[in-house]
Amino acid sequence: MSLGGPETGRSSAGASGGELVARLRARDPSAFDEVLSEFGPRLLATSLRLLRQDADAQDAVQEGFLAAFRSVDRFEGRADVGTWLHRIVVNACLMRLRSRKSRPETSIDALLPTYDHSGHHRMGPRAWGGGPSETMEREERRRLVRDAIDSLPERHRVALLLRDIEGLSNDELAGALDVSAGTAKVRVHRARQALRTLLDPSMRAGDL
Amino acid sequence: MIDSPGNDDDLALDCAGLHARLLSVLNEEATPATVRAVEAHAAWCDECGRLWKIAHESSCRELADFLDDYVDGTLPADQRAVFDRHMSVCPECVAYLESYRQTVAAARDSAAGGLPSIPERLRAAILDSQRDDNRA
Repeated sequence: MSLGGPETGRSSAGASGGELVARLRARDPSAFDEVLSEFGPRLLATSLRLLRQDADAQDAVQEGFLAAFRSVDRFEGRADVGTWLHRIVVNACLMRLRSRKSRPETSIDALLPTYDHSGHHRMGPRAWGGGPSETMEREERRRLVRDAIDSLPERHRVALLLRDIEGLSNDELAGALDVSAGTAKVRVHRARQALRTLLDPSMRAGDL
Repeated sequence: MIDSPGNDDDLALDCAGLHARLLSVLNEEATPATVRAVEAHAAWCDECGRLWKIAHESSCRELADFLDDYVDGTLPADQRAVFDRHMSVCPECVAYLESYRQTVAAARDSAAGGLPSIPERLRAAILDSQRDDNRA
């Protein structure tokens, strides 16, 4: 799982490599503490984004770390420690999401662009400003975007988070969601289109 | 008949042949025989037919299907040419594409900022469970 997103569990240089893994395998208590300090906050952030409930998110992080520690002997070292932990915690979150009582999935259709009979935009898109930072405080903008992501239909929300924020490749996303690569790709694309629709009123040039 | 651009009289194109000629047809630089050969292949090949239809009709709806690949830089050159061609005449799609790009960037940026700290109780629970595992 290559992690390209800005908020991933990628390790710092000091904690990657074989030395830390060797200490984990030797059950060195300070190594577990070190891993928790180094990667815990980022993985808790990932878990909070996906699960949106403090208690659930903490439980998923705990499950993930314990599963990782128990399986460290099987860790082959192809990925760095942060990437390996990130994959395990994401899977723990996805299992929790699947086990939640599922509400009926809302349709995303109303948030997709519309076209006239000839296939051209029905409502002409307007350019956004040079970036919402010009018109909004950075934190205000981030909160607005996070709220918009949270209001996406659930499976599209999760697909967008995993692809665009957690940095999974399309194939990794397909594997994590247990869908075809084509389905994963379409789901992310529609989620981005829907998010664009939700942000449009706030982002249009001159509206703020 | 050798499958090479420039000698397309009565040529039966395969998909690669169509892709090799698509740009010249779009740029109106192809011979009538090449245009006929491309049209003939597009008439029976579903995938190339779709590309040809998009290139020919160039509607915003059909272009939207390629938007993610275009933004991610994974659109093949011939489809990118079709996309660019539409963009050159459609300011609405230019505005949409740019705001789509900004949407992806805003989503990525939304996760920046401070990280939560690990609550002491969670840290202790993980380390205690780990110690129990070691004893078992």
